[in-house]
Amino acid sequence: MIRVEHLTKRYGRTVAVQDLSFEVARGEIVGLLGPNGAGKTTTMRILSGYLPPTGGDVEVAGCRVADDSMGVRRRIGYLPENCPLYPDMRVDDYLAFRAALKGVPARDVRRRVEEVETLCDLRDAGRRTIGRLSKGYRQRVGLADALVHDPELLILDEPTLGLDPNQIRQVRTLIRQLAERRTVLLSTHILPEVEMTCRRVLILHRGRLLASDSTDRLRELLRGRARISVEIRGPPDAIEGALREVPGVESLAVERGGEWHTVRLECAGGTDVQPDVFRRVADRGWLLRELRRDQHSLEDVFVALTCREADAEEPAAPAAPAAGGGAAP
Amino acid sequence: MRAFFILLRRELGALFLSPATGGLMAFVWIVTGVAASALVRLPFDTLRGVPVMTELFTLAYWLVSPVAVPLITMRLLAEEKRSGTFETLVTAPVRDGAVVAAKFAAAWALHVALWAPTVVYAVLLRLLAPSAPPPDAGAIAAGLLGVAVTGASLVAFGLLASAVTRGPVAAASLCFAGIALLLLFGLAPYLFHADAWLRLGRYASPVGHLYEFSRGIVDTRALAFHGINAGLALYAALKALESRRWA
Repeated sequence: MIRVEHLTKRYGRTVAVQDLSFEVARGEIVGLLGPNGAGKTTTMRILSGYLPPTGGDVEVAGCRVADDSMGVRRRIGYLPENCPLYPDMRVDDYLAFRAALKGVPARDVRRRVEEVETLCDLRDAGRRTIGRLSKGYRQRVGLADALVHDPELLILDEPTLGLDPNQIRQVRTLIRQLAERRTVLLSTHILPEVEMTCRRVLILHRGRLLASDSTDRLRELLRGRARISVEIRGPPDAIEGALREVPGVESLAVERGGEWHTVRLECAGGTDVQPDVFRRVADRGWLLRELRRDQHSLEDVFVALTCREADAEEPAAPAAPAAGGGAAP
Repeated sequence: MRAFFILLRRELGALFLSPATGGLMAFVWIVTGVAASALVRLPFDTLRGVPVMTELFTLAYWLVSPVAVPLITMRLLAEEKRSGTFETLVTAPVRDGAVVAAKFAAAWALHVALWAPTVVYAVLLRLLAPSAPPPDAGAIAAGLLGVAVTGASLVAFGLLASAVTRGPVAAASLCFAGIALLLLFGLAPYLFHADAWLRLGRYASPVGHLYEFSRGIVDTRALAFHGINAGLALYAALKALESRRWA
């Protein structure tokens, strides 16, 4: 559905996207993840035909963006960042206007507007002026607009930006529903958003692709490092001394409580330190309430990848970008 | 063409139903009303035989337009860019040319609609002075044509100003400055009585052209001047929009 090969975009001397390559298959729901300034919006604007690439090749729904921008625009539903809408129009009128503009035949406009209003839970807001709607409603109007011509592909730039937690949940549920019949590419810098919504993640940093894989497999990347949490009742200094000597423990931090103390251990890859920790606690007669291996979140993966990238860039020129599946070496 | 008419309908709705348009119409009516009232009170000798409607079109138009045209055009593209709706608009399957044409047509229609009711003053003159010679209907029609073609130039320039700026205030300021320059240039033949200026004025003075129109003279030089001006400004506005696609 989307094929991006060696995409580069420069604004003057500033490189916004550099040698970016990835593919999105039909029916996938993919998250484009990265901090502010990573190149997410620029990439989406190029995919939507709003901006031309400086270099590389982009194909969306079988049409090359450079040669057939109109074809691309007919096949995609695009929700730009901040969901811009005409505040002076009523929701019904706005959606009818957008449907007509996107080529929905005049006889079908009313039906399509009703369908997307039902899908986006906007039936009660049809006669309301957009400027008077809450941000959550406006976001749903934006999604309805993106859907009104029944596109094959939805490109959503930060669809939950500025929403409160309830509104975020509503929009997230809606996106999951929409993804049942369509390909969805959404950008965000909110990690839980990607974990809850997407099956695959593309991590961008400073315009380059750091990783492209499923959320589970990205977490596997950090499986080499284990994080253990232990809750123990005993003298904190003695606990620290005893656990620091466990083979495989690289660092630890003790959070002192009243009677129970929490110890967080960072361990080297391949070592299972939990039996050793248990034995040392038992031998000393301390009480153990919890011994848990923490699962790495996508946030950990993201931080690890971006920090590794920053470290690599500091002394010398940038390293070669990653493309396709897996993380950058 | 379908996209053009869909956009035109949306633009006409946005322009004609805006509360600001009501204020603008009131402004035009106050200025033309005061001007008409002042003109009919002048002694006949002061007007030197020039019909009241001719003076009304030329005097009131150049009083109103430097303010009205920037107010009409400032939001057309600059506001869309500022609010982000421009991105939504041009990522729909619609050509930039249709966007420019629809916005120009809607703004021009509003400009003509602001001036069309001045015909009422001719009717009032006839009713209030039944013994005087009747106003020349042909000259009034030509005067309105003059207002329309001069408006095409000014509105197209206002659209260009809106296309090259990122906010309505900047667009209005640029448009006002442009019209002021055009007006000063147009007044030059009347200020400097040199032959060269007078010859140039016959071709390129919008003030002179409107005066001729309002006397009932439809000169193709004036039509060509405003047609070329409007065409160039619209082409430049289109290129300004397309510049985002220049890699």
